[in-house]
Amino acid sequence: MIRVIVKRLLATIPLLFLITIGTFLLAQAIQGNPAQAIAGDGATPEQLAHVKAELHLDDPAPVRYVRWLSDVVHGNFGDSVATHRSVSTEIGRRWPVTASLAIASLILMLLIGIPLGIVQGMRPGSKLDKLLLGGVSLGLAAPNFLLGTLFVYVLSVRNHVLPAMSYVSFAKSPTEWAKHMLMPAMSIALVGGAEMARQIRTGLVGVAQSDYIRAAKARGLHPARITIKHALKNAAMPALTILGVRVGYLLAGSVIIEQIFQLHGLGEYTLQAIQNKDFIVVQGVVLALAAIVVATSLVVDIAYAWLNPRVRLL
Amino acid sequence: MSASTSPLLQVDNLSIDVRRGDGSLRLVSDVSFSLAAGETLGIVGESGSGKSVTAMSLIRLLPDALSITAGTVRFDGQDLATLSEPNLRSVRGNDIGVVFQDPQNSLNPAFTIGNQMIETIRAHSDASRHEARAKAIALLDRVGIHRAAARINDYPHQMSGGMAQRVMIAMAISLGPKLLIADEPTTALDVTVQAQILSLLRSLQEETGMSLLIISHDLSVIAETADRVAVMYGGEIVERGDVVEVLTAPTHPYTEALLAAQPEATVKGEPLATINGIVPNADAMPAGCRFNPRCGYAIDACRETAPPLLDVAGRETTSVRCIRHTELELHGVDVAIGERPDNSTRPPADSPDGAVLLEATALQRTYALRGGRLGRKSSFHAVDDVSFVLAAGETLGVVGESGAGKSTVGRMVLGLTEPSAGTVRFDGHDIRAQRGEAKRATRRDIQVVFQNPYASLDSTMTIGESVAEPLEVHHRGTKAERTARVAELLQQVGLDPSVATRRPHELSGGQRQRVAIARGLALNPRLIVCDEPVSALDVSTQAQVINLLRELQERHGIAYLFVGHDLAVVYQVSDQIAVMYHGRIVEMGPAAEIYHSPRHPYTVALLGAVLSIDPRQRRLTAATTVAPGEPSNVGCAYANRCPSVMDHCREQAPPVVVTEGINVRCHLYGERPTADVVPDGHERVPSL
Amino acid sequence: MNVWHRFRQQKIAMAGAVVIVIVTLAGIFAPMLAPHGVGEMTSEFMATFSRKHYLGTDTTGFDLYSRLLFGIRTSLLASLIAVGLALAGGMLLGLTSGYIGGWVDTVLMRSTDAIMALPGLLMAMAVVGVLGHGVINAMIGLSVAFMPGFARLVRGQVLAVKEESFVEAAKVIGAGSPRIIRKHILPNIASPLIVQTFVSIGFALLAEGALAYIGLSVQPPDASLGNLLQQGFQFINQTPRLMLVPGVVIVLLSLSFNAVADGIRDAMANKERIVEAELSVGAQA
Repeated sequence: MIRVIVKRLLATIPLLFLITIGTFLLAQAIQGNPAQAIAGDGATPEQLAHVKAELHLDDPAPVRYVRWLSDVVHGNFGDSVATHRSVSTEIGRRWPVTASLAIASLILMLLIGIPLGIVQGMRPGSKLDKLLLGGVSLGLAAPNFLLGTLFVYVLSVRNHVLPAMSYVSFAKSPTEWAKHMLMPAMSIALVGGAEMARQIRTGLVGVAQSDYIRAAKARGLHPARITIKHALKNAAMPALTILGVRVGYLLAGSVIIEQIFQLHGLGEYTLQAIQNKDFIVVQGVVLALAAIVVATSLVVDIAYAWLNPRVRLL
Repeated sequence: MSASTSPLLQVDNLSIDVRRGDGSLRLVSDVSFSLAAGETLGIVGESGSGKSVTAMSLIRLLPDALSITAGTVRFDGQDLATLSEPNLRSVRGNDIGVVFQDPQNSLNPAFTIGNQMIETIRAHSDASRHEARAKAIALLDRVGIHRAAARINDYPHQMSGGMAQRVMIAMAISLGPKLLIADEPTTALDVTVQAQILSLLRSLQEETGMSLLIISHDLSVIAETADRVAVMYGGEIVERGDVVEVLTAPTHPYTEALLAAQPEATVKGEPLATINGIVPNADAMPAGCRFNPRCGYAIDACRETAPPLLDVAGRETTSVRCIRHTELELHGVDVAIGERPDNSTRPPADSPDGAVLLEATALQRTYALRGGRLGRKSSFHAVDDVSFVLAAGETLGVVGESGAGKSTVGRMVLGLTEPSAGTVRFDGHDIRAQRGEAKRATRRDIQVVFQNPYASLDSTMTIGESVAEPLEVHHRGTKAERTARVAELLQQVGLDPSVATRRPHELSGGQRQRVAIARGLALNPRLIVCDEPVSALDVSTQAQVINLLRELQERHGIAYLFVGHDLAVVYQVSDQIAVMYHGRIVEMGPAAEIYHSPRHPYTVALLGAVLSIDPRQRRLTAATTVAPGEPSNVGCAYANRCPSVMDHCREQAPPVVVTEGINVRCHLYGERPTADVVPDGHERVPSL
Repeated sequence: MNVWHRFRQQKIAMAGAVVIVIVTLAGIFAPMLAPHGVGEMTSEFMATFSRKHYLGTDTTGFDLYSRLLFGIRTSLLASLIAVGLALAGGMLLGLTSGYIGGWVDTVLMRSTDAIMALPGLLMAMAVVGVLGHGVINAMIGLSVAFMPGFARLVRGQVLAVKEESFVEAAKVIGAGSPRIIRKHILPNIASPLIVQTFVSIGFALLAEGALAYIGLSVQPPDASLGNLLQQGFQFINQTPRLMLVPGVVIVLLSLSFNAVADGIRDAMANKERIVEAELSVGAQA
């Protein structure tokens, strides 16, 4: 098992490298003339030259890349072109918002998706299953931003049940946090939950045909036990993989949801940066987001390896 | 059948249907049989006979689309066909145990075997975890698993097929059932492992008095284990009775034909007896007697009325479904078959006529394994020091159990796998060194027929396209000429040329295999590598394909490298046989010699485990064991299992010795044998 | 063919197919069907459903029905092209990676992993950020987001088919790699690919909608389902119609593509391979 973990970790390193290179190139592509952008439109030639010298902007790209990389490793992501504020500080401020959203969405997603999937998977083809399938399809088809706006409209504007925007930290007030998080998290969780349900259902249906399920029935085990213990564990593994990918996306923040609900998270930050061609922020945030996704995938990979005896005992 | 004790299991008029679209199709029709306590009943039939469906239906373990539509299944006073679910659950596992065909897939890969065994025990008894665990260990020990206390924590994928089947048996008997249903329990296992499993079942029966219902397509398994037998065809029982009576003096033409189609029923050199036609589909059953289109004794009356199952006068236990059974004199197993001399007319291999076509020298194929700590590698020889010679127009049979490396040898000859060492010479040329036109020419001369008829044809292409592919690739002829050639090839393999427009899924396994052969013939090759070509086919189809291969060899002078695991089949088709164990050829020589007078201890063990279709010649006892033992990587690979092992064997790998015209890789025949035990009194090379 | 016949038996899938056909035709013939141009201002503002304006007008006086038609046209076109590009690129990458194997495979797969590390929408946004606003750039961005998924899928399928007996038989016959790929591998990986294409078009519609919603896709006065939604959102209180209409259309279309994909999957014979394939793609966008 240790060997599996080490192997996965080692495989992640080249991946991270590629990501840093990609991010760097992306940022360069966004802003052709970094010195001008930093100095501002009305900068004099001397100011421009000063900026260039200070930030070593005349050095060749590989050198700048290495310098940036070493800065990153030390935690320095540079300063925003637009606001001249430290990127890493800003990331630090916004990250809890995005993380809250991700965690709340994840919990809701599991709460919705797993029972739904199990109920459907136990009796595929039944009336209940068909009914739920319709709901699941709808969940998959609706864009989360549409759901979000509908929620706002119905629950906030029309009925004032829940607050429409902004964020209250969990530390300050758990109930307020929950009230503010509910709608945005639900918008994401409905789609994610539908996907989970579908994966689990498919997994259970697939597993139901297998020889070991038939053998378990032949031993006179109770059907509930067969589904929940035997089938689910095997069906869960592929579902876990999907979950891993999804979680990564969640952590990266849902840009649009943050916009709709005025949550000042990483997604909003990225969007603004792209619109402002603020390449330093883009560089930093995209890297941070990608790193989070990779880290999550790694954790999921390891969890999967632990669950699957064939891999665990390698 | 004694009337004094009522039978443990009484099945009457059982019928099973499958839901299809709007209607239903009858799969099993009016099946009746009984099983007494302590007795073994064998149900034998080919694919499509309905035997597995029947067995599974007894405890209602059918897929959703299938259901019992008529009949009763009386077990121990209850009708299982109509029993409530909860009651049925308590019968399953508790009173009736089941062993399935594929043991590794029948165990949940996500849990340890201990977990699954304990769960079963606790589901049907009040045992605590601790008690259940102790019982599980005892059971594992009873079924012959060494170090049971440690192995109980293993996962299914860590066990071999034979071990997994033992575990399944342990689970099935864990609550002391009165009846064990075994559905093709040894079909997926090697022949030596089969012998162990069957003898284990026998010993369990003797100990507990349990009844056994064994289902198999393999007549020899039934002959070996059953007291009574039921022969099924087309969803019906066509003959039923005492096993010796039915097999030595059958009363139904199908039973006779089935017996005659077995490879061991024909003297070598003669064509195998076949059954014309193919098994009918459930939706296209012939009118009248279901067997009549293929029956050599059919008369008009057979086509008109479906015959009922009738008791045979003068026989206590036999019933048969044939209106002519009183008139026909049918042949059963012939004791003398095995002893009749070889009728083949082939000259021995070292005669000057046989020009050497294929020569393999010291072939080796090694795989690196990652074992032990991080990155430390060990190597595994799939094939080691394999050398042989094949003359034009002859057949070399390569036989061995799974993992022996025989398929790898075939693949190296075909060029699909690169040898790690050694050479393969075709027509004197080293095939690895060839390039360009020479390489293409060799490709044309060496073709293949694979084992799996379902996977060796591309399902997205028509039959005609598949057979024409070799011609296309080598730019032979115009489109019209190719079409004509395809028609000709299809006819040669016994198929109607109209098949060319169909797709593989529309044909049966036997037909697909013929297509594969037709494809192999397209370029007039001089050598065809047959990699287990009949292993996936029913016996009657197997006979047809073997005859076809032989006939093509006579006509075109093609040489065959025939890889197989069924010794009886390999014996029938081969001039020379090479026996492989753990990557090495341990014995090689003329087929008759190898088959009738084996020298190497492994060959002896292999042949000893081969079962006979004659129920009067049972080989196994409750105590038969082939010593389990892993192949050794130091010295002789067989050292851990060999009954004649000497100290010398564990230290040094034996060289190949030629004795009486046979190549043997064994110290017993080498320079300094010190054991007295040499199998079957063969000549030892006198010590120096 | 068998597959079409089985597909026909699935009512929901057929309904989806019908919807797709109707809507696509509406999009294709939008210029002819729409009574007004996409940026044509009429004299009526915020009018409701009427014979003159089927779906009413919006605050700038645009006829909603016309804009909807053009919006469908734009969104569908963008999604189709995006998925088409992703499919082409993904096939190239996947075939190369799967068939050749070795270090080529490792390098390509690591690169796609790197791209997949960025959530699809973000990736598309980044590309648009580099190239600038506009629907064409949005298409490119989307195709970059979907390509790794397709590449993964194709690679997985190629790896599976490569090992089949009939491919080995073809090698023994002497067929070269081009022929094997063309005649044996491609036809056998077609089914999961087709299913995934339909699923992806459904997702691409939503993704384009999202991009348009945040202003990175079409620019006004051009219409896309997404920016219609965004414009409608501003007036959700007074005139929910402006948002609900495009909303319903987008959900309906997405549902239809998913339904058709399900129908194809169920109608095809090798279902196990398809399901396995989908697992290798993971979630999209």
